[in-house]
Amino acid sequence: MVAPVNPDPVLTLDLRTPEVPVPNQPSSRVLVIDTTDALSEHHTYFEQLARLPQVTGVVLVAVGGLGADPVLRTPSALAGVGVTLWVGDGLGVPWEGGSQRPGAGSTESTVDDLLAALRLPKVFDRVLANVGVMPHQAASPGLAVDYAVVEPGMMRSLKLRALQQLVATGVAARLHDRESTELTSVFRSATEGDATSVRQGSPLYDAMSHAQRELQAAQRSIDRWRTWRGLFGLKQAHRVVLDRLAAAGNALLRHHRVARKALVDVDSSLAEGYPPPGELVEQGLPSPAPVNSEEMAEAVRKAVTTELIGGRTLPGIAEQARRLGNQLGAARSLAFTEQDSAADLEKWARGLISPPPVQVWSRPVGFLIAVAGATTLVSTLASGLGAWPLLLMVPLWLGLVTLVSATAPAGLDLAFLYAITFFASSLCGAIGLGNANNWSPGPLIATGILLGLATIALLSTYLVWRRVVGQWRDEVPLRQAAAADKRLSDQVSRTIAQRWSPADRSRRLADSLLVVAGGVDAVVEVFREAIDAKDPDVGHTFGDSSAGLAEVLHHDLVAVTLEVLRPSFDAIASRLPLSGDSQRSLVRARDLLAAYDDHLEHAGLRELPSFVTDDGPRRRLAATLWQSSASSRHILQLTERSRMTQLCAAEDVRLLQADGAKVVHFASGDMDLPPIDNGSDEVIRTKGDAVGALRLTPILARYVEREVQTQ
Amino acid sequence: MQIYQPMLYVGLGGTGCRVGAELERKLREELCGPDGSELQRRMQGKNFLPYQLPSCLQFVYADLSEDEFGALERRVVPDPEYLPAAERTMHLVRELVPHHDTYPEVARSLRLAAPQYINDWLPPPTGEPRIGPLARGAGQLPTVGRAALFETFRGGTSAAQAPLRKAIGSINNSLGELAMLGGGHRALSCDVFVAFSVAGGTGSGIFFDFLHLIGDVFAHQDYRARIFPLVLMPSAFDEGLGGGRAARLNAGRSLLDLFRLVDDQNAQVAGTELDSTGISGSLAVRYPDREEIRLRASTVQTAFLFGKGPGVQREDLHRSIVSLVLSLVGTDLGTDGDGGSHAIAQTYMSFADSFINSAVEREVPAATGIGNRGVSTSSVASMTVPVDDIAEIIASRLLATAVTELDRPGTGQAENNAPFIERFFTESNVDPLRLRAPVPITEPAAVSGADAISRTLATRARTMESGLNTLHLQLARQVPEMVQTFDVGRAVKSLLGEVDLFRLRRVLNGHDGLTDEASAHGFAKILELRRGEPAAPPGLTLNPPTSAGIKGKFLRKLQYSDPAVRALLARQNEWYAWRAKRVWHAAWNDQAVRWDLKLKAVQQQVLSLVAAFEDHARQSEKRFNSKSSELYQQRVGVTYLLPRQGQLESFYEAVVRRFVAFYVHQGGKLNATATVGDLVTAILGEEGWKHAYDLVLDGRSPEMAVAHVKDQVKQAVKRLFAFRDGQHRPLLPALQDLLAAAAGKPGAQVGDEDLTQFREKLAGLVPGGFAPSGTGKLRILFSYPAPAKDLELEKFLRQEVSLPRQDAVIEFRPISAESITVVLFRSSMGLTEVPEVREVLKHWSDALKHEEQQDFLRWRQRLGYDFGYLATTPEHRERILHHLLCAAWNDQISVVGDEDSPAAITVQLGDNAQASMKLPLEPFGRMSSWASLLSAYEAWVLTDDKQIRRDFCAKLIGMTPNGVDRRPDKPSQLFDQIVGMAPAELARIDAELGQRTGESGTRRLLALREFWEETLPGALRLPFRGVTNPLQDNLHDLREWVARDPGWLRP
Repeated sequence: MVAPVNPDPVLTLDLRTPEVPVPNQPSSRVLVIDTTDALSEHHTYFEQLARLPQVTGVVLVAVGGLGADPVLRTPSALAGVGVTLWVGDGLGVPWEGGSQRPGAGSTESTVDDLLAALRLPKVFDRVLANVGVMPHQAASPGLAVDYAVVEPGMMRSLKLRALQQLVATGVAARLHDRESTELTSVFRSATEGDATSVRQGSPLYDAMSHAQRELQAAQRSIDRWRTWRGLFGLKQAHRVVLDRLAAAGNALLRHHRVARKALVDVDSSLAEGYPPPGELVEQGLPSPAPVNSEEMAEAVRKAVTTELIGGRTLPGIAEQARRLGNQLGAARSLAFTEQDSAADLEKWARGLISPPPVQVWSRPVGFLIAVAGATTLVSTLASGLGAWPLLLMVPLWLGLVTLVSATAPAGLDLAFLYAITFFASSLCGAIGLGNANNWSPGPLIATGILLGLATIALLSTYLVWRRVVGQWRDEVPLRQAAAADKRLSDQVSRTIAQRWSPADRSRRLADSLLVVAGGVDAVVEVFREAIDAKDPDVGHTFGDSSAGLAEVLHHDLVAVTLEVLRPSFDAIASRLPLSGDSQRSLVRARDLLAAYDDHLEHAGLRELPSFVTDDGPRRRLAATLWQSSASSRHILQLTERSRMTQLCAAEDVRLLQADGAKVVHFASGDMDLPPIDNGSDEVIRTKGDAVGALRLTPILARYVEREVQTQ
Repeated sequence: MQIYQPMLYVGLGGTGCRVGAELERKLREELCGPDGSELQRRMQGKNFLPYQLPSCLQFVYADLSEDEFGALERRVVPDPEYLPAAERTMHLVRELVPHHDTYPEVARSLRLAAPQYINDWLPPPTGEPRIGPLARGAGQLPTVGRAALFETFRGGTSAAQAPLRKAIGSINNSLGELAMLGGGHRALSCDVFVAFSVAGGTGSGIFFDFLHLIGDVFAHQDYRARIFPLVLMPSAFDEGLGGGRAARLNAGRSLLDLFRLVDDQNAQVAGTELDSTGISGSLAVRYPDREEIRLRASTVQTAFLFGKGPGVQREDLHRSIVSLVLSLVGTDLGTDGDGGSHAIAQTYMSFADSFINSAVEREVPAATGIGNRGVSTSSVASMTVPVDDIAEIIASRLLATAVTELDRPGTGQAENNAPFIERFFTESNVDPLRLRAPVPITEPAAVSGADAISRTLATRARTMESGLNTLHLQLARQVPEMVQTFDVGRAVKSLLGEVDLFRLRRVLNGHDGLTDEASAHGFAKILELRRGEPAAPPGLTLNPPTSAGIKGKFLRKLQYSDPAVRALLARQNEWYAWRAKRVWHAAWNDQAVRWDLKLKAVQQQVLSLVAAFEDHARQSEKRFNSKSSELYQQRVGVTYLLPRQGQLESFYEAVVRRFVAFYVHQGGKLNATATVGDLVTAILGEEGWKHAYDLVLDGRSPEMAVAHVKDQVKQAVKRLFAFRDGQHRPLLPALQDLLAAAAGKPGAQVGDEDLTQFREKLAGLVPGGFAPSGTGKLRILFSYPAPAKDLELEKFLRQEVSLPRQDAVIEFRPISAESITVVLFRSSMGLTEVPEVREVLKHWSDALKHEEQQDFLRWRQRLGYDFGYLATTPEHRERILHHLLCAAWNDQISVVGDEDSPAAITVQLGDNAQASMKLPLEPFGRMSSWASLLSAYEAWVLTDDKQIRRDFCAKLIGMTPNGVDRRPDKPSQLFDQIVGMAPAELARIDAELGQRTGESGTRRLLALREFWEETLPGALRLPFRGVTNPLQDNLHDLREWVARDPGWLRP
C-alpha cells in the first residue's frame, strides 16, 4: 500500500554564506538565495543545479542593489527551470502598487518572511508559475504576512508556567497533584493473582487433603461414639475414637510441616531465588502466572498518560510510582511478614493425639445415682411386689453405671461407685418398702411399672452418656485444630494467589514502576534546568488565547515526557531485564526539549511536533486564534493595489512594472476562510501558522537581462 | 467533424508543442465527443481507445527542453490515464538532447568529429556562449539548437526521422479510417503542418533541417506531401517572455533562410555543377553518414507568418493557428459544386493545397529585387462555443455543492450506518470479531430434581469454563491470522460502490450528530473498543452464576424446564457470552500494534481524500467567479458564444434542473426532487468514488483524485450539453442551429436571447484592423457549420460579418465542425512587403552595425555566420547591381564627393522625377566606397514600405539602358569609371589581404573582392530583362559594342 503523496519539501540553498552548499539530496523544488553581485560568479553552480534531473523548479531570491546600470542580470543557466525574485537592500518600503508613490513609515515584513513563505511547497509552486509568465521570469516581491501565533513573550511565559506546573512540588503542587487511581489500579491488577490453588497430587495437596480427611473422620468417630453404640461399645469403642484423634493429630502435624516448609520456601525463593521455583512446583505450588509485558507496558503507559493529561505533576507521579514499586518490591523481598496464622496448630494436634480423659464423676454419674435411688424407691413403693423389685433394680443400676463409667479413666474407684450405687439403691428400696401401702395392683401392672422404671433407667443412662461424651468432645481441640488447619490452607492459598502466582508479574511491575519513576525524575531534572535557565521576570498579559495556548504547551510537554519515557515503555514491553539507568533518559529529555524549543522557534507552535500525535489542542487553539485575528482576514482581502511591504528600496519602485502584478494568497490549513468576493486566485492552504499575501510585481523589461556567460 | 485528408503535424520547439497540444485537444473535442468514445463507436472493430484520434492524423513533436514534453503530455488529453490513446498518434523526438550538457562541449565535440559538416556555420569558439544544460532548452540561440541536433545526428538522422517514419507509416495504413471519416478517395497525399516560432532557439534552430528531413522521409515513401510552415513571429512574444531584442534578432535571420528556401522551392533552378558532396548552388542539408538531403520542388511553397495584433493574447494566436489547420483539414476539395471541381481535384492534392497555392505567383522576383514573392501572412477569427470550459466550471461547482451536501448527514430521516459498519467488518475480513462468538458447548441432557439440576448446571458452567479456555487457545492462533488478513482498504473499496465517500468517512470514523450508537462510534472506534474490557452484564462476576436459588418444590420434583432453571440457564449463557467477549477483546488487544497500523493508514487515506474534496468545495465559489469572469473576458479574433452575459449562475441552475429531469427521464434512481448530492452520486455511479480511492492507493495525490472525479462529472455535463431530445431546447445551442435560425431558416429551436447574442457576436467576429499584415491580395476562407453548401447562409454571413473592405476573394465552405472560422490570408508577397519582417530585418542590420554584448549574433543563424550582406543572395545582388549600372549608364546617378569613392549617390529615375534614391556609401580603408553600394541599397529598401518606395524599386528593377532595343545612349562617364575601377580595386584588395594575418577585416575585404570580382562582372553579363529584342544581350556586350563604334551613339 502506498502512502499518500506529500509534496516534496523545498530545498533551501543559501549562496550568501562563504561555503557554497552542495545539494546532496536534491528536491524537485529548490530555493536559492544569492546576492545580485555574485550571480554571475555562481554561473557554474546554477548550471550544475539546472542539470540535476530531479529539479523541476528553482526560485532564485537575488538580494542586493542593482548598481549604477541598473540592470538585474539573471543567470541564463536557470532559463526554463527557474524564476528570479529580486529583493533590494534594506528593509523594503510600504507601497500600494500601481502608480502610487512608495509610502513612508516602517515596514512589517522582511526577507525572512518571504523565505519562510517560499519554503511552503504550494506557495513555491504558485510563485514559480506566476513569475514564470512574467517578463524575464523576474519579479519584485511585496509581502504582508500575519502569523497566527501568540506573542512570543506570552508563549515563553506560558511555557515556563507549564514547566513549573509540571515539576511543582509541595504547596504549589497540591492544587493539581491529586492522586488518582490510575497507577494504583495498575498496581492492584498486577497483585491480584489468578485463582490458582495447590496442585493436585502434590505432597502439599496430599498433606492438606489428608489432614482434612482425618479431621473429618475424627469428628465422625466422636459423633458415632456418642450414640448407643459408644455406650455399649465399651473400651473398644473408645479406643477407636482415640485412634482416630491421634491419626488426625498426626495428619495435621504433617500438613503443618509441609505447608510451613512451602511457605518458608516461597519466601526464600521470592527473596533469594532459592529454592528454585521448580522445586516449589514440585512441592505442590502452581507455576507462577506468566507476565504479559506488552499489556503491562501499555497499562503503565496509559496510566502515566492519563495521570499526566489529568494534570498531575511529574514529581507526584514519580513519587507514587516509586512508592508502589517499593511496595511490590517489599512484598517480595522482606521474608515472611505475615504471622503464622496456624501457630497453635501443633498444640491442637497434640491435644488430639493425647486427648483429656473422659469425666464421668461426679455430676453425670451422681445424677444417675440419684435417678437409681428414685427408681428403686418407686419400684418398691409402687409395684406392690415388696422387696422383689430390688432384685431387678439394683443389678440393673449397677450394670448401667458400669457401662457409663467403663470408659472413665482411673481416678475414681469403681468399687466405690458400685458401693454408692448399691447403697443408694438399697437405701431407697428400703425406704420404699417402709412406706409401701398394702396395695397390690396385680402382677401385670407391677411388671409394667417395673418395665417402665427399667426404661427410665436406660434412657437416663443414655442421656448421661451423651452428656459425658459431649463434655469430652468439647474438651478435645478438634474444632480448633480444624480451624487452624483451614487457616493454614488459606494462608497457603493466599500466599499463592497474592505472592507466588503473580510473583513474576509484580516483580516486573515493580521494576517497571521504578524505571518509569527514574525516567520521570530525569524529565523533572531537565525541566527544572530549563526553568532555571529562563529569564525569571517575563512580564506580559494573557490574551484570550492563553488558555488554549497553555493547553497546547502542557500537552506538548506531556508528549515530551512520554516521548522520553517511550524507550522505557518499549523496554518494559520487551521482556528484557530492566535497568534503572536514568542517564539515557536524561540525555533524551535534554535532546527532546531542545528539539521542541527549536521546533517552536522555527516551525512555530502551530505546527505539530513529530512526537505529538493528538492535534486536538492545536485545532482548538487555531480556532480561537483565527477567530480573534482580524488582521489575518484582512490580509486575505489584499489585492495588487493594497499596501504591502515591497522588498526593494523606495527609489527602486520606479523600476517595477506595476500593472502586471499578481498576488498569491496563502493561509494556514486550519484557518476558516473568510468569504472573499474579489476575483483573486484561490487561497493556498498550507501547513504552518502564517497567513499572507505575496505580491509579485514584474520588473520593467529594460531593467532585466538574461546574462549568458561566454567562454 | 469530417477529415478529408491525412495530416501530419510537426511541432518544433516550445511553441510548436503548445500549438500542437491545442490542436490535438480541439480535434479530440470535435472527433471523440464529450466522453472520448464517439470515435470508438464510429470505428467499430478497430480497437480504438477512448480519446484516440484516427491514425490519419499524426503528430510529431521535437524539442530540446524535456519539461516541454511533460507539459505536452498533460495538455493533449483530459486525464493522464488516456495518454496511451494519445501516444498512438503522438510521436516525441526525445533524442534531440545530446549527451553533453552544455553548448561549448557540443561544439567542441562537433568540431572534432565532423568538421566538414559544421565549419560553414558553427562559429569559432572565441566568445562562445556558455549555454547549458541543453536539456532545459537552447537558450534562445538558434545555432545552439542546430548544434544540438547535429550532435545527435552523428550516428545518423534516425533520432529525428524514426518518429517521422513511424507517423508516416501510420498514415500509410489509415486509408480505411479516413474513408470512414469522409475522405480518402484520392491518391494518397498528405498535408504537413510544421509549426514553430522564429523567436526562440530550438524552433528556429532546427526548422530548416526538419523541413528537409520531413521531405526526405516522404520522398523515401515515394508520395507527395505539401509542407506548410506555420511561423509565429516575434511580435507574438512579449518582451522578457521569449520576445524582445533576442527574438527579433533570431527572427531576422530565420525568415531570410526560410524564404530563401521557399523561393528555391518555387523557382528551383536545376543545378548542374556536381561535386563530391552534392550539387553546389542549391539549398540542401548535409549530415554525417547521409547523402545530401534536398527538398523536392514545390514541397514548401509558402510559409504562413502569424504576428500578434493589438490586444491578442498568445493563447488566442495559438487557437487561431489551430482554427486555420482545422478549417483546412476539415474542408473537402470537391465540395464546391462548380464544374471545375474535378479539374481542381486533379491539379491539387488537397483543399489546403488548392486554397493556398492556387492563382498565385510566387516565382516572380519581388519588386525590390530581394527574393521572390513567397511570403504569406494569415490571421484567423473564429467563433466557437467553449463547451469544455463551461463544462469545467459547471462540473467544478456541481462537485463542490455535492461535497458540501454529502459531507454532513442528511437532514431528513436519521442516518443509520450500522448495516454498513457490519459490512465493514465482513469486508475487512474481521467478521468473527464483530460476532465474538464463544465456542459452542454441548447442552447437557435435561434432568429433573433439584440436586440433579444443580449438578447439571454446575457441569454446564464447568463446560463453559473449559469452552473459554478452548476459545483462548483458539484465538491465540486465529486472531493473529485474522489480523494478517485484515484489509480495511478492501472494505472501503467495496462500500464505495454503494455509498459516497463522505458517508463512508462517517461509517469509518463515526459522526457525533448520529443518534444510533454504532453509527456515532464508527467502525474505527468500535475496533478500538474491542480492545478494552467489555462491560459486565449487571450482576455477573468472573465466576459463573451459581445454582444457589435452585430448590426443590413441595411435593414436586424440580423440572429442567422450570422458569427458575431457564432463567439460570439464560444467565449462564449471558455470562458465557460476556466471558467469551473478554477473551476476544484480550486477544484482539494483543494484536493492537499490527491492526492499528493498517487501520490508521486507511483512515489517513480516506481522510486526506475527503480533505481534498472539502478543500475543493471551500474554494469553489472563488474559482467559479474567477473562471467565469475569465471566460467572459474580451478576446480578439476568438469569439466565445456563452450563456447569457454574466449569467453563468442561472445557467448553472438550469443545468442542475435539466440534469435531474434527464436522469428522471432515463428512469434511474433519481426522483424529481433530487439534490445536487444525489445527482453527483448518480453521475459517478458505482465506480466513481471507488476509482478516486484507487488513485490515492496508487500513490497519486488526493488532489489528482479530486480532479479525476471532477472530470467524470465534467464528461457527464458535456454529454448533457450534447443531448438532444426534441422536447427541450438544448442548454447550449448548436452553432449550426443558431446560424440557420439567424438566417431565417425554419425548424431550428433556438431561444431569442441566444439568437440576439449570436447576431451580436457575428457582427464582431472579425474585429477592425484584423486583416493580416502585408500588401498582398487578400483571400478569405469562410467556413461555416452546415451539412452542405448553402447559398442562403453564405449570403447572410456576407451581410452580417464585417470583413475587411479591400477587394478580397471570399470562399465559403461548409464544415461539420462546431465553429465558424474566417481565415484571412495574403500571399505572393516579397520579404519587405510585410512590415514585421521588414522590421526584424532592419533590426538585424542595425545589430550588425552595433552589436551589443549579449547579442551573440553569430549564434543566431543556422547556415553561416558570414553576414556580409543582409538579405540578398549573389543572384539578387547581380540583378540589383545590373539595374543600378543601367541607371548609371543612363546617367541617372549623381555622386556626392569623389567619383572614385563617393560619400553618397543619388539615383533619379526618369525625367524631372520627384522621387530619388539617396544611398550613403562607406569606404573601407583605402578601398573605394562603390563596393558598399549593394549594402546601402539593402538598407534603403528596408527603411519603410511606402508605396512610393515600392514604385521606385519597381521602376529601378525594370531599368535598362535607354534605347537598348533601338539606338542606345552613350554610357555615362560614371558607368565607365565604375566598370573600369575593378582591376585596380582588386589589386589593392589583394595587396591588403596579403598583409593581413589576423581575422579582423579579412571578411569585409573578401566581401569587397566578391563585389569587384564576381558581382560586377556578373551584373554586366546579366541579360537584359523586360526588353524583347535588345541590341546586345547584356551590359558588357553592349559596352564593347558601343566601344567599337562610339561615334554612332547618341551623346
